[in-house]
Amino acid sequence: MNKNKLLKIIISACILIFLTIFLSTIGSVNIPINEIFSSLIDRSSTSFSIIYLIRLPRNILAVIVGMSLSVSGVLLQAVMKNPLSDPGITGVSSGATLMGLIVMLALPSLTPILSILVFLGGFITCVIVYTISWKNGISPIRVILAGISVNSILGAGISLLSIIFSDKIQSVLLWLNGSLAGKSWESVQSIFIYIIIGLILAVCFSPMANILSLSDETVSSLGFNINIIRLILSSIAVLLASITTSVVGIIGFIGLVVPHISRLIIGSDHKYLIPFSMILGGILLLGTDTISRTIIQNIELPVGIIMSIIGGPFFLYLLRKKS
Amino acid sequence: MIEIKNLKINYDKIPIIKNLSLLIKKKEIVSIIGPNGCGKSTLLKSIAKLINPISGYILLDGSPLSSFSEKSLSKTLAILSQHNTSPEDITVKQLVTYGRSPHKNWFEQYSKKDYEVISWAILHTNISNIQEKKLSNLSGGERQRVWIAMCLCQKPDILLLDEPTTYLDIGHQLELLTLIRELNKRLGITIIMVLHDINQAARFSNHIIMMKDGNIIADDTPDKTITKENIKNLYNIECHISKDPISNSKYVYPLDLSI
Ligand SMILES: Nc1ncnc2c1ncn2[C@@H]1O[C@H](COP(=O)(O)OP(=O)(O)OP(=O)(O)O)[C@@H](O)[C@H]1O
Ligand SMILES: [Mg+2]
Repeated sequence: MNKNKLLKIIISACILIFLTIFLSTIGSVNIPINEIFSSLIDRSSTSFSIIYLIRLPRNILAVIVGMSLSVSGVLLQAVMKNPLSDPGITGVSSGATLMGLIVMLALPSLTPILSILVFLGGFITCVIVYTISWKNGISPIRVILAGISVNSILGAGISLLSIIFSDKIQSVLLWLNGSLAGKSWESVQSIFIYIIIGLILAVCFSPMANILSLSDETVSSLGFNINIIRLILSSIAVLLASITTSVVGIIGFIGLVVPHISRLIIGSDHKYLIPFSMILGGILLLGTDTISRTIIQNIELPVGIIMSIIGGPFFLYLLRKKS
Repeated sequence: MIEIKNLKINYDKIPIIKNLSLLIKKKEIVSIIGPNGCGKSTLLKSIAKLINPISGYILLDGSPLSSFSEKSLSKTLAILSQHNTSPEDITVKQLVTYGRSPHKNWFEQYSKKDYEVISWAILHTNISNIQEKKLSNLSGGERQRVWIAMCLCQKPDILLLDEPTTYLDIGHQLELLTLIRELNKRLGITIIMVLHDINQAARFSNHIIMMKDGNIIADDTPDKTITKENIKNLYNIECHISKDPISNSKYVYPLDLSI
């Protein structure tokens, strides 16, 4: 155990918990901090419903979504041995998007099971990508190439749907760009258990992710079946990404950027990298979501857009600072 | 004992090893020599099951290599590859520790014995003073010794070494080859290594395999294989051969390229 790294993880976890609660007081109506606890007593008060029924569940959702997308990114970067990988390359996002559009635009009667269908859309697309790239095992470059082709085919489908249903596209734009608006405890409940399981598995399997940083030949000669390792880690990553997408839509960038920032701060040992990315991802999405709901009065901006606007320059700054 | 019969290996449909048969006895030190690109590394990798042959077979103590799982093979056979990659910020100790994984299940804690093996490997490869350093901050020779330490942690019966002395200065070359001989003598580890220095091969091995264009052109004791004709055949050079005054093994002085 490296005390220094452990300390970083503990401190960032404390920051995350503090922010989750504190940011629940900020919004169109600012609530004094001391009412966080006092409002608990009077459950009929407005501050109670604003904090505990509206903002807290949304913040918690932001945190777990941020966590799972970041961890998904870390795992896929390890599997692909490519620092530019993110959940999108496996086809999860485009599969989920296409399914979301089909349901919302063409088959609105299926809306009650939208989440499940979106999850399946993402998951099945990913299975297809892995199946067509399989040849005596998983080769990262083949997965990436298969992912690009499948993404472009599905992308065409997405464009086509948007054109055919151009009159209705307005209503799904928010979902397409990823949004946490109006999410309640129900949304949190629907994914919480799966995400916690996924995150725990990711932490447990962190030694596997470490092994993959050696060359394929070394991994095999140390007695590991590299295909099984790649499959296990990919499955965890894809589950995490497709579950979150099914509830909040497409939030890009975080799965790419958080692993990088985390690596700069805590190094590439996955034993620390996975927990730290998890916490940092939570903080980042929570912060971004708070900005997206407060920056313009009475207007909700999609969190995915804010993420890209803030994340891009910040990432460039970090890269420059490092070199 | 390793028995290779009619081995054929292709890379992208191009035959590299065409029809190779070979017998390697237990507890020997075997050196493979031959010009660049003749297939030495390919042969080693196929013995380590990192490449699958098109046809032919390899028997390890009588059982076909294909019947071994990665795990069971990694407990008896370790390979030091010619090129190795590792993450930038891994420490020497962490990397060496990976060498114990063949003997562990996932999530299994390392026991006292594992740590003893790790210390033993670190001690014998002479890297105790750098064990807390990051691998990326080491010299080429130091790095090579770390990789060898990792192989030793596997506690193999058969050790395959692809150009183990590259990057090492002459002192460390000698030290490493002496260590290899010690491992062979004391622990009875079978050593199969690729060397480019014929004189070191002559001095440190019981057996020399000469390879050219994916075929074996000579396979015998150093005294019998190291001849002017064979050296000329392999490297296209003229040479003078005499005896090393200390070890009494054959010693090759290259003279000039053959015309
Ligand atoms: N992965 C690969 N794909 C295609 N061809 C390869 C591959 N690896 C090796 N080769 C080719 O196979 C031949 C034998 O390669 P090998 O690495 O076995 O040579 P070698 O005897 O170890 O040479 P050196 O002394 O330079 O290490 C070479 O011609 C090489 O170009
Ligand atoms: Mg070679």
